[in-house]
Amino acid sequence: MAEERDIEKQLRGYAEQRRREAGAPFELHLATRRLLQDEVRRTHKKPAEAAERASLFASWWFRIAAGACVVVLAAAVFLPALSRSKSRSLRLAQNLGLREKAITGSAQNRPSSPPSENAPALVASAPPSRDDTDKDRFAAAREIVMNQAAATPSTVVATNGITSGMAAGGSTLAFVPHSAQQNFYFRNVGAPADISVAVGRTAGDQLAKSDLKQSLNDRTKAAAGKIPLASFQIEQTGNQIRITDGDGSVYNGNLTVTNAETPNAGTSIARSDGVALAPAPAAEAERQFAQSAIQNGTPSLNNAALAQNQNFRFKAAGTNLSLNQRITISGEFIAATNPATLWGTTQNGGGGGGGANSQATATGSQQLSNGRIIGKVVLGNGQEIPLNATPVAP
Amino acid sequence: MAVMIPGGESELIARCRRGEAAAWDELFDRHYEATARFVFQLGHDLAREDVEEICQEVFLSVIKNLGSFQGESRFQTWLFRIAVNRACDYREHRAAAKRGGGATPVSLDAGDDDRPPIDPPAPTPGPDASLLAAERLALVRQAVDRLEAPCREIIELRYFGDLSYEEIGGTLKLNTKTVSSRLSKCLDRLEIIARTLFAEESDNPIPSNT
Repeated sequence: MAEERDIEKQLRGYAEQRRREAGAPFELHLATRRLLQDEVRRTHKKPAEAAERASLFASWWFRIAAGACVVVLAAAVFLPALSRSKSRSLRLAQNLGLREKAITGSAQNRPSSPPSENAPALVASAPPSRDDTDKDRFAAAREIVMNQAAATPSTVVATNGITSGMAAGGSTLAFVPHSAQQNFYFRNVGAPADISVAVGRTAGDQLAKSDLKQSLNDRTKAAAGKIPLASFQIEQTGNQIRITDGDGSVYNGNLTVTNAETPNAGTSIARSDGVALAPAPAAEAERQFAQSAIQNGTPSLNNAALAQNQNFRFKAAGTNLSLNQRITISGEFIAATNPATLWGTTQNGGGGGGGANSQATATGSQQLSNGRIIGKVVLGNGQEIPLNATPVAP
Repeated sequence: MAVMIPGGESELIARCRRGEAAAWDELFDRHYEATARFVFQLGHDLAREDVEEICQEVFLSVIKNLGSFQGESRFQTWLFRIAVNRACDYREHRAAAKRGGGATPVSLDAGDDDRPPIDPPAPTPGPDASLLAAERLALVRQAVDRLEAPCREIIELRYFGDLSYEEIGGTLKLNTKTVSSRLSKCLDRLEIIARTLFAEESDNPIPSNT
């Protein structure tokens, strides 16, 4: 070890001297200690509390994370359902609002609007139950249908022949045989008010099973429970059809393609009963139908299949649950002809009846969304019910 | 540079960081005496009251800055470095107060009663020799005070704090050889300053009060 330098010795000597001069040991005064402890509390209290909170979180983090996961999962499961329910409720509320608006508007406009030239014929062909209230209801139904057509373009919707021209949204769907299933909802506007058959169940119970309860009023429901095919749904899958009655009865059958120039079922029915539907109620209704569409200025898509002069007949059979009888249904889907063509034909023909209809069907393309079903329903006891159904909103 | 920390010191510091009052009390008790004695050597004009005041400032700094202590040196080394800086600040502040006409601090031991102040007997050989030696050592302290801050710090830590090269290197973040080299250079400068002071003192035998 190197020998210390003189200056180092002097430094150590100074240090030794000062230590001696210091005298008694230094002690931390109580006031100084208190001051320092206060500073400790001020400075280290927050970190200590933060550390305590951190440790608390560390001990609870698993539970917190598990709770968060449960909340997220619950939200993922229930939010879409709530959203669907909300949108459905909203749409229904909108439809109801439009319905009320339409009813009010229709009631106000009725006295001022002059009856059309063809209106008496159409009214004459209508069943007795189709009064002004029915018109209002149909007008409301048209609004509903238009609203839903805009919202859901793939849904086939239509309304009755009186207030036709609803395809404002362009939501027509071809009624052509293919593998995809399509549903159509109809109401038999030509059905009698009642039939003299004992009914085993209440109408309300039966209607509870049907989707049609949302679009029909109570009176229609009551009738639908007793009268076969007062309102019904057709499901088409290829050439197979399945008719679901308003009371839940199901009738299966098939679909056949017919040439448009052949006399339609409406004409044959007119021959059979000869009262309500003759002469050629289908043609008359179609003319009204198309004229109304022109007046509303609503364009519509055409059916490619029917543009080839083809109509569709169907036949189905099954047991009606309300009557507990086997019934047979035969009819034809009458698509609305091209309004412009039909209008011109009507003008030229001047009430040509079946001929005008036939020509219009042959020359113009047809509009399925505005179409109807003409035919008959034969009960097990031989009683026949005319079928003059128009599409309604699902 | 890793320095062996005495057993229990790191645990004590961890408790202090958590804000445990008892740990802080233990820390004060462990280091206050050594710090005060070290501070007392940092100025020949420092009284006990000055030391206590400086130590109070030193420990307040420790409380506020304990989080910055990384454990690269012993806690006492880190504490002594703080003490060096606080003592320097204190002396500068007091010198400024004197220049501005500030009151000279009066020792609390200088009682205001009629009793004479405490005057313990000095273990020196004789009054003349003691006086001469005291004056010479005071000149050494003055020479140290004339050094630049880095040199003054390293000399104070080495000769007044009795710290090893490793401990000094740990607290100053210097290599041991760098500490040795710097210390040697600082001693050279101190020798030059002290020689000048001794020469001035021999030319002017009347002792200065400063």
